[in-house]
Amino acid sequence: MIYLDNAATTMPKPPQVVNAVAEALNTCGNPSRGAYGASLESLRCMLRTRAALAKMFGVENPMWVAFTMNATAALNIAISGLQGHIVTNAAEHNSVLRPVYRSGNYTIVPLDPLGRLDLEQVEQSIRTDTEALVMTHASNLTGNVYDIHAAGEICRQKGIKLIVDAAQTAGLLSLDMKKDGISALCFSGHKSLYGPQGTGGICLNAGQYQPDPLAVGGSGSESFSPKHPHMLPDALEAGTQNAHGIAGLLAGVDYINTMKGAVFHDADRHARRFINGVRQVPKVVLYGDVDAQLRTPVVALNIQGMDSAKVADILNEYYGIAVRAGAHCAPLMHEALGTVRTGAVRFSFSHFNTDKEVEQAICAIEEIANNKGGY
Amino acid sequence: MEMLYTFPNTHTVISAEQVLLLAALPVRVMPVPNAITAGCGLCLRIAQEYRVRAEAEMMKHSIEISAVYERKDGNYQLLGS
Repeated sequence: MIYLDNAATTMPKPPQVVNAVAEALNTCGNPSRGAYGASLESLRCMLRTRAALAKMFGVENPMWVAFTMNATAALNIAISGLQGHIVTNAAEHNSVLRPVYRSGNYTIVPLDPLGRLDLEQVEQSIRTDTEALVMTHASNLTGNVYDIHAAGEICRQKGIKLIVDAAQTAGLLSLDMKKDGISALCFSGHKSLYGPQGTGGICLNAGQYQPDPLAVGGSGSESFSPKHPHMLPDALEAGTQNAHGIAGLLAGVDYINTMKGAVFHDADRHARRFINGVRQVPKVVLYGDVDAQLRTPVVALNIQGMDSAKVADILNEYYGIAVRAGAHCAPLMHEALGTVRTGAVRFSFSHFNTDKEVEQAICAIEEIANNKGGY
Repeated sequence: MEMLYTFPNTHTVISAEQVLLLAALPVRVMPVPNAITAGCGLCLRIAQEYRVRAEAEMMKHSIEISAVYERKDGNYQLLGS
């Protein structure tokens, strides 16, 4: 199989991640629940992971990193804690849009036909009762990257919070909570941080914003208090944490740090080669700002006259290429691109893909577009 | 004689443990005795002779201590919180 669905979950994982999880399964007990070696080792592993993530994202205090099962859970916590008006934009995934819709008090800034966002429009949408701007760092559909630093400046000037969905960029592109003025940064561990599924988290600038937890329960301390602890990270980590997965997440973060930028640059090279290859093919329509200087290694396309699901099915069945078709949980981005009816075929690359795999994917698209395979 | 330190949460206990071990101070994590706080939780135990150095290290690393106890004749005496 040629795996090109890395925007959903990276695969394969570095061997270090696999080994770390396997080792943790037999050495890490329940964190916070005992004072014996295996339990403490679990707690120590979580602390090391918090510290590594805090360093990666410029979080002031490692205790302001709380683990969640994925970015969706983190975004739900971050957005549910808002009381006032929310500004967001049409590039967002449903993990942002649905919690925002539920708040009932929001403005959604539209995109241009290439899926780009005008930050002046964002600024104009901020009202006196606006509490936060919620913004993705990159589109999960087009790979367009949005300027978080500039958004942070706007939020600073307006005195509102900035909540960032970093699901598509954590581990690939640099983010710094302090420098970028981020109040809450939500990430998943199983994408470009190369960790296992079921890992993710929320990093907070807790001096500015600490949302209430969605779940309360066991915390390993203050057991006779009817109230769940307010102190981070306990406040947002009710119940047994996924320490085995977190051990893998730490190995993923360490791997990225060791690779010194190659994780992004390799994937970026693959995506750009793929773009240059398929854009020559008649009938292929590419979406998004594909020539942008900075983008994530995600490419969305359609072949004119063909259903995106059919293309994905052919790629899987005849070429062994795994991609994702349909709406990608990004309904408003599809509206901007004009692909609501057709959906799109998304190719997303990782550092572990090879040049040969990219060439095979380009050839497959050429053949399908020219209907050479008699599918 | 030994000292016992409690902290706001288990994560801080482990942070303190790491700081003290890095400073080559022999420290042990143990369950919080019920005589101190009913319920679950962890605390740190360290020999009295290391008290000054231990507290200096924890202060240096901004570790928040909830309370300090001294264990004498099997009893815990609160020295500060």
